[in-house]
Amino acid sequence: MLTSNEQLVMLAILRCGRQPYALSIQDEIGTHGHSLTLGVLYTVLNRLESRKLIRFREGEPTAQRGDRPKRLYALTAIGARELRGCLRILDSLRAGVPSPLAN
Amino acid sequence: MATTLRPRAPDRAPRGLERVTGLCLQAEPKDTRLGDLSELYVRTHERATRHLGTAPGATTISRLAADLHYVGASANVVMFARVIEPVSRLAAHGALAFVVTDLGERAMATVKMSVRKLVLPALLLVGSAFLIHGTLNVWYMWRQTEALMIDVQRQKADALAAQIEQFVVATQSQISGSTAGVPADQQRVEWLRLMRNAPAITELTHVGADGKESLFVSRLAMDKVGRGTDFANDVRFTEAMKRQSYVGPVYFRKPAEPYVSIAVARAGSGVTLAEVNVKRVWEMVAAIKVGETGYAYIVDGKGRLIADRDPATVSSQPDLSGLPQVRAALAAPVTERQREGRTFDTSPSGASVLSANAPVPLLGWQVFVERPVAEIFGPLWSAALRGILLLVLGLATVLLAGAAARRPVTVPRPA
Repeated sequence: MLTSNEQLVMLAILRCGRQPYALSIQDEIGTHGHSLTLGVLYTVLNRLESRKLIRFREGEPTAQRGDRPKRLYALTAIGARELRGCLRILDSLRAGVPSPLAN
Repeated sequence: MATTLRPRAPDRAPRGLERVTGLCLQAEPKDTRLGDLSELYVRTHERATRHLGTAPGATTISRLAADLHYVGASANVVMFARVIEPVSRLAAHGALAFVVTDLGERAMATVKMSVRKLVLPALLLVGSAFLIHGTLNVWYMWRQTEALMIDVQRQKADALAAQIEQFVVATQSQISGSTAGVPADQQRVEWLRLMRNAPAITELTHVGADGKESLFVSRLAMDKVGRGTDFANDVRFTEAMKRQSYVGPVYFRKPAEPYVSIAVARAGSGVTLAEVNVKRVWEMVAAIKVGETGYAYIVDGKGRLIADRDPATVSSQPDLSGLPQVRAALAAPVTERQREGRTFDTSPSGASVLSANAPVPLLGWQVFVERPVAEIFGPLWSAALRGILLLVLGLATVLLAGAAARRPVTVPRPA
């Protein structure tokens, strides 16, 4: 089972493309009308990572980060399966709901 | 060509802030969270600079905005990393952990909502109340200061006018006292005695009822007896005969020696004319002190300057009737506007002054006591400006905090 924030973060990771690190994930969620503070985002990322739903690798350090690397996230196979399962349930539930929730 | 040095845009977060955050997070120097926060700092600064420009003041505000955002974001990260996450880990796996996690995540949203909906409007309300109260307070203090100052100046003007009048009345009294009941053959001796006691009296002349001079006693010239000079058409003689006494306009024998003619009718036997040195009046004017740079001066009935702290100015007797306070005083000796305590005028030198005046009815003179407005209200303005500056800074901080609470201040990723 994934919380709504976990689902948001995992979807944002998928949408971010080549640079899915904390700030770009936060921006991605922000551009879709929701906001997560960095504190919440790190908590969610840590939890997903400890549950082996996502993994990370270190990117190149940059000057504006004080020569620190980015932590680039990606979904693991288990994470992708879990997210797919959650979204399927949501889609299935939504499919049977008449207006006003229908598109 | 002159060049302007502009502060360089920061390429990373300040090390001091990073050290504090690192300590709070117990993070390694290379922790990626510190990197994210540093990047956030640079982005916030860039965004603020795009809005505010690169002027020196604007750059400072941009840095302040970036600092504030960094502090807010790092406090949020620290709270979750050091408080909420450990608590959720302590709770057993399962439903409780889920609830704790969810509550923790929602807590932050609630805090942001509270700040936006309650704290910021409350701060704005309090700030506005302070602004209104401060404005009213400054206005009230302004009026009080103005009324107090005009009162002080009017008292000084009244006192100086009374002193001058007393001086003239005393001189008139001495002149008439020196002639009352004195036989004609002893008049010269009596006047010599008078001159010894009254140093301001320089010359005395007795003119008989027929207008002919019978005795002339002077400090500066030879005494004359029975010279017979005709004063029958002299205004001093005719006016004194008509009204018992007469005081003439100020005139100068030397650049720094002002005189007036005082004539006193002698019951049944003509008029005594006296030339009186009124330099003493200049000393009285120079002795007037009002605040740091306040001053007094006197104009005659035509608005000509006859006494001032600067003798060089007086000797040319400039016409001050063009000054609003002089014009008003000559039109109505005790002006209504003076009673109301609103007398902002222009000094002879062109500065804006608070002016009070008092008439010397016997002479037709007007005494003015003035003090520059800048000196009176300078401290009040400084205090008001300090208050306004603090309020503006406070309101700016509230608005910045409001903007920060509204949404994460990050640069949207280019599409």
